[in-house]
Amino acid sequence: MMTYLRFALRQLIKNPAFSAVAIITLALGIGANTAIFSIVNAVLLRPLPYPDADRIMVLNESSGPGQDYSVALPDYFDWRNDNTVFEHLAATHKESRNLSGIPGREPERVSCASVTRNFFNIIGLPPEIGRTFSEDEDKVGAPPVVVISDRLWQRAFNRDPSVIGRSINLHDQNFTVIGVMPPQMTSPQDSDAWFSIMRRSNNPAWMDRSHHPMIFVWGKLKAGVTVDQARTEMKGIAARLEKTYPDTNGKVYAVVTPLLENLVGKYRTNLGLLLGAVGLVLLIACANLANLFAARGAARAREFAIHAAVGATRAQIIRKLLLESFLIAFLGGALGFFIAVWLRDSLIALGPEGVSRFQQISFDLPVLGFTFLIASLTTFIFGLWPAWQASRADVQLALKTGSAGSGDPPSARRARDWLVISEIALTLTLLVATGLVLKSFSRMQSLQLGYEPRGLFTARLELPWKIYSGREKIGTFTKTLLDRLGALPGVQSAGIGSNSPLMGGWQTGFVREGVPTPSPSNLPSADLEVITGDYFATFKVPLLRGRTFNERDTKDSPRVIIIDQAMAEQFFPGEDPIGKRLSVDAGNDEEGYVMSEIVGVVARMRFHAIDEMAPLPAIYCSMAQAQRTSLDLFVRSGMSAASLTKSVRDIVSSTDPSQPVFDARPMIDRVQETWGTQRLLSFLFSIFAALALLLATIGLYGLLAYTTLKRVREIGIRLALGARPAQIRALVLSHGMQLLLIGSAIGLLSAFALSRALQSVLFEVKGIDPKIYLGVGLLLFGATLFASWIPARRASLVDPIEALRTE
Amino acid sequence: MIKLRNLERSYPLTKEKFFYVLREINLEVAEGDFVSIMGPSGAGKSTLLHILGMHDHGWRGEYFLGEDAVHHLKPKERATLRNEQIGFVFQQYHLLDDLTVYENLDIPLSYRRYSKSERAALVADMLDRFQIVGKKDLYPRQLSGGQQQLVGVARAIIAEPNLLLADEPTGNLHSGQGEEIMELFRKLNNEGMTIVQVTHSEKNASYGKRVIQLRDGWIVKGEQ
Repeated sequence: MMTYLRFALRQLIKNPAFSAVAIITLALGIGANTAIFSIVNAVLLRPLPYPDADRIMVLNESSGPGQDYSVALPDYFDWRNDNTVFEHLAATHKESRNLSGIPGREPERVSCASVTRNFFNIIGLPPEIGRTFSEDEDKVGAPPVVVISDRLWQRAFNRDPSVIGRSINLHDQNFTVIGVMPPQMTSPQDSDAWFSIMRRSNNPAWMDRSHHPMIFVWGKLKAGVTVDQARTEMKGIAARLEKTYPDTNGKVYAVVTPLLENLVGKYRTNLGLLLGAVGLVLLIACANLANLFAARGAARAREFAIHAAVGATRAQIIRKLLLESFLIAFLGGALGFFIAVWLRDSLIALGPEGVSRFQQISFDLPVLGFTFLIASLTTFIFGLWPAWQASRADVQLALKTGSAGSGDPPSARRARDWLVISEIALTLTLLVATGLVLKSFSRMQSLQLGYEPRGLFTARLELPWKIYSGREKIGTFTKTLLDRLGALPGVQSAGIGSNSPLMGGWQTGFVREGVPTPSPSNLPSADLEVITGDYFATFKVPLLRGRTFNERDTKDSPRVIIIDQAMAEQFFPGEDPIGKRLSVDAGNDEEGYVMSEIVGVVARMRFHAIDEMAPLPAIYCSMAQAQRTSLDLFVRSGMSAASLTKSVRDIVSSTDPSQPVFDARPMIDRVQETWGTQRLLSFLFSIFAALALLLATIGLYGLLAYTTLKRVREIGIRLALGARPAQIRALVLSHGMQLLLIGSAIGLLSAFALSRALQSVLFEVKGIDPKIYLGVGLLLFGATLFASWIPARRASLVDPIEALRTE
Repeated sequence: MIKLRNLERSYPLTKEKFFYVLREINLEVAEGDFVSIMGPSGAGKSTLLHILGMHDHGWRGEYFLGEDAVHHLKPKERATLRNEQIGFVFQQYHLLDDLTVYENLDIPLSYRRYSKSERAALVADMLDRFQIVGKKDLYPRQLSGGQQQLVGVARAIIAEPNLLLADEPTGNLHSGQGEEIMELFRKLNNEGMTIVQVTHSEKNASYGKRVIQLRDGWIVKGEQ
């Protein structure tokens, strides 16, 4: 074996150009595959850091596909009592609070979760120090206690163990720290502090079965229970609830999703597509190498003939050649691995925001194993056929014809043609897919948002509801903030919203005056935005009819609302909606539905990211009439985001020193974030398609150049028989075009199939787009012409006398 | 039919020195003539034949083919003239391995202006004339050397040239096959075709009407 290895190394060094081309081709293919696999591994394959994580489920309610929502608290109680499949069933509610009063630290916003005490049983990790809630601490009226994350312990308390028992101020309420969770515990959704949800479970709004207050349920399956069994039982429970509470639970289903699927399931298709696309690139690279090795094998026919003549068996020749291939694959794999590591930061930067598993791409043992596996696999894909061909050469003929070799039977030529045909087919498939993804991305970018995100600065504030308990206090705060912001040089306008575009969302049911009230589950829904200041002017959303809110719209004045054009067209067709009334729940505690008069109609704004949910019509309430403590600030200005952030922080701090400003950034960043997945797909598909096109062009050129070299005698004869240079050029070009035609026909079929698979990730683009097919056809035609032209020209310059003399 | 005046062919050895393959060649070949060019290896026989066949353009002097002054023609015009007037037979037959006998015969026609039906008729005629109809679907490797050269000659004359150039046409054949080919040449010549052949064989030369002797690039016998 060592002797063979030494021979293989010698071959590698003897042909440095050949070796370099082969190693680089493979390195590109393997590097791209390793890079994508490292994402798949980090996002989809790596287990969650909790014991028995595959038994952890997330449950929500739903009215059907794409209509998922949170769980009504009374439904959770029923689920918990009736089920027999879960060891524990916990309720969770995400919120954020301001942590203030820590000496030497600015106030900061902390991501928190209210959970039932058994949530920690589901996670299955013991606290690092201290403990989690006791039964007495998880009920109405219990003392306020908090469990904090390792991150927060490190960040705010410098890992001081005496934090246990210490009182900390969160949203101007004191909580006693009772425990610190280990670093891997961040659920749900990147939380840093956990409170008892049951302390607040007497909230009347939460006890309303028609109310879904963003509570999501987590469960841990009993050992041996399958997901399907759990789904079946929860379906039965939901059906019973529907029967018992037809008004609130009509067509309400329980959805059970494994935690990992819940976190990253929506990336599965995209990552699968990327893995498929990059796999095609590797196949093309392998086809190229197979051709390269076959050509070299033919050139070395005499060498193999001598080996055979002195006693080498066919298996020994194949083994020798496979070892050479493996050496190339191994070196290509090693180089590819480093290319993938080098690409890591770019991949992380391109990943969608807020998915922490995307940020944790590591090149661990599974990734290393994958690289080795594909390197070994490619050895067989590109090495076996040329080795087989070389081993079956006719010894007598090979020795007689000298080093030029004879190992070029028609079957070998056909096989070489088919390798290039397959490269063309795969490239066409990838180019079409890339065209579709790029068009979809472009459609997404040019999507009408209904507002102007450029030049719009945004920031968020969470007012503690204990202090800002009334609309007057909130009004005073927002007015001061907006007045002082408006006085800044360079600020054109400013407004505040509470469930603003791409910053959350709040849907409400509504009923038109005079229309019988449908059951809660049949109420039409609308996005509800609570606003103050120059909100519409700041967004550059035109008022189409009526008026915007003014200072006469107060807590005590009759309720008024503004609707968007979509609602006007859908619910008031052919009518003037101004002066008409809707019964709307503005979300004020203990108030419910209130009849509200429409005073204005504005143009439509897009509130949600494209992949979030279907757009709904919108209702706007005045902040003077609807109480909100989660505030989104919008400033239209020519100032930089950095200087605006500082100004906003200074103004807020001088108004309320315990109030942090967070998530300050330009609106355009939020818009671009919604394209994250498409951007990743577009970027990587473009790279893979370019790589595929380059490899296929090189492959085609290589084949035609090699064939031309082999056909010099034939070309000489043709020239001697009267062929003109143009006819010889046409001969070579037509060979290239024939391969293109067959490859394109096959590629079209696979492109159709792939387009169907892509449909779910495309936005406003049909799978079969004639323009894209035409464009791809022209591109491939150009590449084929380019790849064929040099060999064709060289062929036409063959000197017939020389060609015939070399015989 | 052919008139060569002071034709010379040389290759540069240095910037100023040249190696002459042909020197001051003056030669006339009348229509219907059958000329054999003879001489030792390296005398310039094949070079002269390839100049006559317009495969070689690097010569000086005057070359008239019929009324056409080849030395004044551009490469494209020479190619047209060659396709109209000349057929070529090679020592190694130079049949295309991947084409059948039928397809090999069709090749010269495909480079000239013949319609598909004309081509089919001419090939059928040639197969018939050379009595190789039964072999039309065979590949060259399935034929004997003599049969291959027979196809080579048929291919050379299928486009009805006035001039047939043959470079050692029997060099790779045994004597029986060689005689068969030379008889065929004689028959073609008797039918009016002008033939110029390069040969080492006195016997083959005897089939012709005239012999040109070349030595070191000079015509030493048979110049006109």
